[in-house]
Amino acid sequence: MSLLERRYRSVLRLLPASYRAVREEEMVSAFMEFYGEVPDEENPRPRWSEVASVLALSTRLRLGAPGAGPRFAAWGAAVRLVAQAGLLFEAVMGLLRLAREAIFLSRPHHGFDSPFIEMRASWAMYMIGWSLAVVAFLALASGGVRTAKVAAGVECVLVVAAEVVTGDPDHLAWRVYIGLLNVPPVLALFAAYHRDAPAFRLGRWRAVGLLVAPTVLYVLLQFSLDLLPYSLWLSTWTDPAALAVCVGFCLALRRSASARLGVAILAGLLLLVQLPSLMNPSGDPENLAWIPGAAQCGLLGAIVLVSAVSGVRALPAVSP
Amino acid sequence: MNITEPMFLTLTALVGEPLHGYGIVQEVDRLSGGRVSLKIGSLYGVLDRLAAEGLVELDREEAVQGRLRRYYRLTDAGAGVLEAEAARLAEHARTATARLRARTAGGLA
Repeated sequence: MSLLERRYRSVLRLLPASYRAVREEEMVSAFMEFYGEVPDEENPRPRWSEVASVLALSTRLRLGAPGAGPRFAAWGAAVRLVAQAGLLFEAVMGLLRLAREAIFLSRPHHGFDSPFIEMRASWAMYMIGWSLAVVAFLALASGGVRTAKVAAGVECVLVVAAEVVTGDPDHLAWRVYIGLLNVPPVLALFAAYHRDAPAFRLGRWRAVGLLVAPTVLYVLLQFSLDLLPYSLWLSTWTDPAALAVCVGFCLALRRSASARLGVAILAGLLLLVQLPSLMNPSGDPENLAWIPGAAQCGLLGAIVLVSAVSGVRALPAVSP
Repeated sequence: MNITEPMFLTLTALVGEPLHGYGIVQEVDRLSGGRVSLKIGSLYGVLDRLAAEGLVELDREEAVQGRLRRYYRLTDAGAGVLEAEAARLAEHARTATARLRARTAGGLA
């Protein structure tokens, strides 16, 4: 076996084993016919374009493209759920933030008169980004996957850039990390909504309802909380992302493997963001402010574990 | 279904006779005048999609110099889809040509 063939076979290891068992010899044959026998002394390697095509095929197969088994189809559905839920969450947050800014701007002497150009630039980036988050979800729910990808991609870049521009230089890494929370659902959108993915069409009114109902509910919740005395426990447990994950967990409990795996991924992402906040203790043994956050991380960890284990167990068997 | 250019060219390549992987790559390259160069990973993605829709199917397997060759052929459903897609593209081409002629005639007048 020539060096080129050995190296191409190594590249093919990117593909799922079940697919490789059927296709490997055929693909190697086509590849070697195309490139011919090259002496090992020339140290030949498969071109990057060939490696990229195998990588793209592998990603599509693992996310449920034709040729993959039902197990990969279930993983594809789980990643699409991450994209749908992530885009919905960003859209709801976008609506809330846009409403907050509208109220803020309606007041006299609002802070937008900042003399700092970077503050104005980041404010504009946030406003456009939040608007695009709403557009991205509505486009996805109407079957406009391309529009959703463009809107979500631009929104993601704008929000991360705005975090960097306005970031406190001492905590820049932390702000980028928070900004990067936006990235995984967008990556899920690009990866799992491939050409062969089933369409996600909610219909215009259902999509608008799904967007507006949690927004209104959250505003009502905040108004109710304002009537109560401040409590760190209450403010921690009414964090919108944590609430969304808990609601998602309850909804997914008796549903498909894909739904449970999707919730496990989303809860895992949120846990990654919450954990660093626990690593900055005040140093005062009397200060117990870390306890609500720690309890929330514990719950998120339990949700990840239960959803992941039950989801993997419910996956279809590996194709022989 | 949405027929992409590589899918269209692959279906066209298989109209004449069954071809194996490398044969399809060569034929697509020739049909497109060298503009579309299918990578092996992309080729099998296209074949998987076409086979899943029943537009192509396995014709036979051969071993040549110890290497496996699988030949694929166009199905009747594949021929129908290709014919419909070709008619659609031809209609677009006719419309574009007619408008360009009208524009040229308008410019000359």
